[in-house]
Amino acid sequence: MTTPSLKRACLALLAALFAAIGLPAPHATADARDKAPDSARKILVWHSYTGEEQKVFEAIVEGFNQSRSDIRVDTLRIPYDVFADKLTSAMGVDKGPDLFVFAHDRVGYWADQGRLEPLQHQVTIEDIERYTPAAIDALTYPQGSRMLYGLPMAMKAVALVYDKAKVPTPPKTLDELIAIARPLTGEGRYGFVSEWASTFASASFLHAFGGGTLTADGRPDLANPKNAEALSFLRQMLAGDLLPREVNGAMVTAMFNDGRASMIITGPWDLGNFRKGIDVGVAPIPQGPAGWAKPYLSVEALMMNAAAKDKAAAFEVMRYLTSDASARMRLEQAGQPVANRAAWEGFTDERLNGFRAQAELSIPMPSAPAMRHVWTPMDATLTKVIGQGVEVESALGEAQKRVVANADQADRADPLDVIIRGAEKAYERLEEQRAHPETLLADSRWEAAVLTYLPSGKHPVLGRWCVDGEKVRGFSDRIAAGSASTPGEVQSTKGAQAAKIPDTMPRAAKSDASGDLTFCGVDKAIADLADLAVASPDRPAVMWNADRTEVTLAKMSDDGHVALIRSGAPIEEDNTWIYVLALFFAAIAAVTFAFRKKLAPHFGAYLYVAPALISVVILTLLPFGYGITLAFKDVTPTREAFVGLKNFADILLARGEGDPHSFYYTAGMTILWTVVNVALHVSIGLFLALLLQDNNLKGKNIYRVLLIIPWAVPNYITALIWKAMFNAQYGFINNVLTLLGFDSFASFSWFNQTSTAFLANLATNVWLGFPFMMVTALGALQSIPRDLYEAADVDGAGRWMKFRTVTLPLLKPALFPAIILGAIWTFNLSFNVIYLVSGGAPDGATDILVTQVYRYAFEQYRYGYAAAYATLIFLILVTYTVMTNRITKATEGAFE
Amino acid sequence: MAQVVLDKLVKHYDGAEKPTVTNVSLTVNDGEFLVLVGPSGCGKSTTLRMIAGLEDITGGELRIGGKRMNEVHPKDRDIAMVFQSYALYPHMTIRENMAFGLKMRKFPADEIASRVKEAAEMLDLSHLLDRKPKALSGGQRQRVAMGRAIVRRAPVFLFDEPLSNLDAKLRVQMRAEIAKLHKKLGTTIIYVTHDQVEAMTLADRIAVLHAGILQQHATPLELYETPANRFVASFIGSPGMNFCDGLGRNGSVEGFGTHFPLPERLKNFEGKCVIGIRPEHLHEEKPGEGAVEVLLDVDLIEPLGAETYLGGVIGDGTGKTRLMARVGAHTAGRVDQRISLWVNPANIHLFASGENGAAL
Ligand SMILES: Nc1ncnc2c1ncn2[C@@H]1O[C@H](COP(=O)(O)OP(=O)(O)O)[C@@H](O)[C@H]1O
Ligand SMILES: [Mg+2]
Repeated sequence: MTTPSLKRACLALLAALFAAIGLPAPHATADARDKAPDSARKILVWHSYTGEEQKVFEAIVEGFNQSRSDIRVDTLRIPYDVFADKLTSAMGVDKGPDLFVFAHDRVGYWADQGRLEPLQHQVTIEDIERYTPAAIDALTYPQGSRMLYGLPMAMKAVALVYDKAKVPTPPKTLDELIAIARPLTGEGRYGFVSEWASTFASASFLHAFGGGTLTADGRPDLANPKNAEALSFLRQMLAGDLLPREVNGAMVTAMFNDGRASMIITGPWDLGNFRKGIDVGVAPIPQGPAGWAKPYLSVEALMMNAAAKDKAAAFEVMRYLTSDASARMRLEQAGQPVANRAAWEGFTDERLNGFRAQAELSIPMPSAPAMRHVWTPMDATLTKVIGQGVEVESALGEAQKRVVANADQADRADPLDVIIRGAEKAYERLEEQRAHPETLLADSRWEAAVLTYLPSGKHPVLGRWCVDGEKVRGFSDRIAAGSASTPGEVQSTKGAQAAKIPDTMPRAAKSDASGDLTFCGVDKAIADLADLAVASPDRPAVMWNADRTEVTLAKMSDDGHVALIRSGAPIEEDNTWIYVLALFFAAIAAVTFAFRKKLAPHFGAYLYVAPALISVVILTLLPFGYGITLAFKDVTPTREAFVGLKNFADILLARGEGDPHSFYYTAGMTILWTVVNVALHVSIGLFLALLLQDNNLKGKNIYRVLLIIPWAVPNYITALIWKAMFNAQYGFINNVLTLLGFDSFASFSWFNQTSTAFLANLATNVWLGFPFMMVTALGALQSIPRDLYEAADVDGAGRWMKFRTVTLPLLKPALFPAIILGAIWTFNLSFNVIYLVSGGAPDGATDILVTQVYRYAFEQYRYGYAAAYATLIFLILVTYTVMTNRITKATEGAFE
Repeated sequence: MAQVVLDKLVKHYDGAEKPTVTNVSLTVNDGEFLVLVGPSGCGKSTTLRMIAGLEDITGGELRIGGKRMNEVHPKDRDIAMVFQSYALYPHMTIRENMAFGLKMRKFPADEIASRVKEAAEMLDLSHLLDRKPKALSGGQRQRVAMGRAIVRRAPVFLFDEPLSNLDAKLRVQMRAEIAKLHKKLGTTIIYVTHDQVEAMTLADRIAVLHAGILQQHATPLELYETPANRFVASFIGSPGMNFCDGLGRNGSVEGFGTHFPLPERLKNFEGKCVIGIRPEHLHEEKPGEGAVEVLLDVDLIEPLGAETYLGGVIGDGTGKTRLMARVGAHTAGRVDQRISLWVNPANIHLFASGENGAAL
């Protein structure tokens, strides 16, 4: 290891390693894409279909490939539960499939980020009229605008599913529903079962009373008297024992199949799950005072990635896959409730037609980003009002406040005022420059544009400065031309001279432009943006460029002009980490070089630790540092800005409006949770270890294995089992308690009160946690010399005194670290238990800090706030560790 | 105060083939220092632990102070015990260690303090009282273990190889201290060791145990002079006794390449036996009339300063019988030379032939 040449070779290797890690080539893959031969015209489609649906879908794609030699479609199945995340991250870097099939409810979110290709300029009226209007509505965003983001494949909405043997004619109104359900209810059976605590399943009731969740323009609207009426109605049903106390989706179907439920609310995805022999009917959910109880419609749609290379080909594929013929195949062969009206002609399956009828009588699930913030608080409100009888108006008011606050935190484009201010400045500059066109041309980039809608309101015209050297992506003159002809593309414009008015530009556009503006076609993306601005006149539409270095803002003025303003670079893309990393390795290399004489004798040793050191830095230190920097920023999927200590101040001053509980409450709950758990883990573990230690115990090894089992089972499985055991009606625990004569537990809801929910969590976590302490204590017990006990015997100590004066003090050195670790684990890693057993119920009261962080980050998308929260948790744990270290120092080494 | 009587004590561990201790009967008088000696694994500790009450008694009876103790809990047996490992409580100070037994017996605090002080002074531990055991040397720990017994003022002290963890020099020193202590306290002591030197120097009487069976129970000198059997004869004394098959005939016994006259009481002995001669009874100069000459072909010389061990085979031509002699510092013996050694026939021991023949 010490020959100089070998050393040199190793140094070179290290240097190469540094280079490989420190200096990635960020654009290598993008270049590779560009090189794909044009002739291939490959289109990739992602979907998450399984079973029959997958077979039929792939057959249709195959049909397309057979009929077309110039375009080749490939499909890739991605499991449903990871689909959205994978897609979001792929599209975030302009990658991913060209087309994909997904439910429409993410449209608003992706569209707001500029990840979806708007289609309104490609589709024709005839295209649109082929589909059920509700399906098209669902894919329009914002609601009521002209922006269309996909073509519908299937419509899935829950409906009333009933057992014809028990319910000959389905109810038409909610009163009838109750009248039919009442005689069928009793002794564990129910006439009607619905997952009432789920906003998704109960939405139809909100609509039946005229309520809902969001306004037409996507703002939260929970606290209205109609919703209150709907909730009161459900509460009365539950109070009259017409609904089970605790149900989840799987239970609803299971109860129906067992004959314990005669009418349920479920969707077409359950069609294959009904027990053979039940004569299943499907009818619309009955009418309420305000009309049909319309459920939320989920539209499965084919959407186009904004980063798709060959959009023309992709659109052709879309057309084919959503055509009436392919829809008919999907309907007939896979039982898919398709959105094409023509496909249903002459189709007789009664159940599918039932679901289709319901789909026609449905409301598209809002795809506005605010909807993401509705679910958790609204579910909590349903539980509170219906299950626990909390006053309905205040509960809804509370929910409304939370949803608004959370949506505001996450989706309010916080730098918006900044953008608008910047945009206004740019506009002013534009006005100035208009007076001095020569300075304008000298500028190296175009800064602003004015877009005017022609009097017809149909054809927006863009006036824009084109300046040398600027590359503009995705130009299209189609809208300006106002024709339905093949979309043409005008790419980068070389110099002001090259940017002459294209021939396709209509005269109207030319004449509308003022003299000092140069036309150069209409950027389609900008036209889309303008559409967006017109769709929501009260707020500017914002669009980022692909590198997210520049923002374009469209704002409609009072006189109907849309000003398009391009602003500098409000967001610096954060590439600093690359430099930090490069700097870091450069520093290491420099230090290595500077001290090469000193390092030389131990060079081999350093070489050995280098890989570990490098991975620690990359895998631990860098993410950790990144997390800390996030804490000082306001980061959401749509924005990122430095805010200093604001996050910490908000948390520590308990200012969060959308939080049901303050940081201090949750921290207190976490500490209580940790203390009680560790105390029980240790005492139970120690007690069992002492029992197992007894030499006279027969079958010791069997007990030992049995007692370690809870530890060996994956903890989420244990958590789910305990959750089921705590079910109000069918759970093992209530059944046993009832058998033992505690009648009040007959349908006791453990998760309605903080204390009992806490107990349920506790039971689960104690079950999971005691084996570790038991094993630790067993080991420690075995290491206590036997003659100490004999000495104590001779000294006259009894059983208890021996335990207190010999066992406990000598267990301390082994148990103390275990307790410290156990406390940290409980504090930080009992996430699964809380999340899966109580889920924080009631309403976050049993959440601990880590589950709360999870909610901020992944339910509310407030990454910066969550990072600050996590940093605080980290600080708490550091303090705790330092403190306990002090204490351990004092106790360590009782043995030599 | 306390006489300890072992009456046919038997210990048979669960699952063991044979009893570990078989019918051991022994009376330890009040104030007597009894040493239980024997090779490792012979059941000394087991016997002691039965006396302490740490091991159930399978058969026989144990009486302390005239009372049956078989079923009595250790703490009620009026015994104090010093363990081989000392068994000091590692988390307690020396003071707490020594006071523990008294505290458990609910002695008043001032009484405890004065007894600890007294014992500490006696054992020269006063300056160490506030340390933890791990901060003490081996000898100091040993003294603490004794101090813990002393403060109890128990009538019977049990020691289980208390010195075996110490180095040779300390062992000699501690041996003297234990002897002094016994003189001062006058308690009954039962002391287990495998070291015959310890046994000889400390004991009033020695009980030799072999394979769980009591071989002989006598004063050290009796044991040395009239061992009851070959095992005791070989176990006591260092280097061990030399043995040689002998044949009795016509008033003399043949062995070690020569003939020894039989003592008066065995004048008529005829037949096979085993002759034993202790190495220290072989002299280079003829000690007097009647001494018998033994020829030794020397192959080993171990000078120890004050004396020399000579090893070799008997010069009878067979080269079979090995012999060890303990002679003066300035021996005439040289390796590969033959020398004459002299034995007083009164000093020879005769045993019945066989594995562990009894003394004749
Ligand atoms: N708990 C036990 N179970 C079975 N056999 C034991 C047990 N303790 C000791 N023995 C056996 O008894 C014999 C005597 O042990 P011991 O009294 O400790 O010998 P020593 O004379 O060396 O102190 C040994 O062979 C040992 O293996
Ligand atoms: Mg022993």
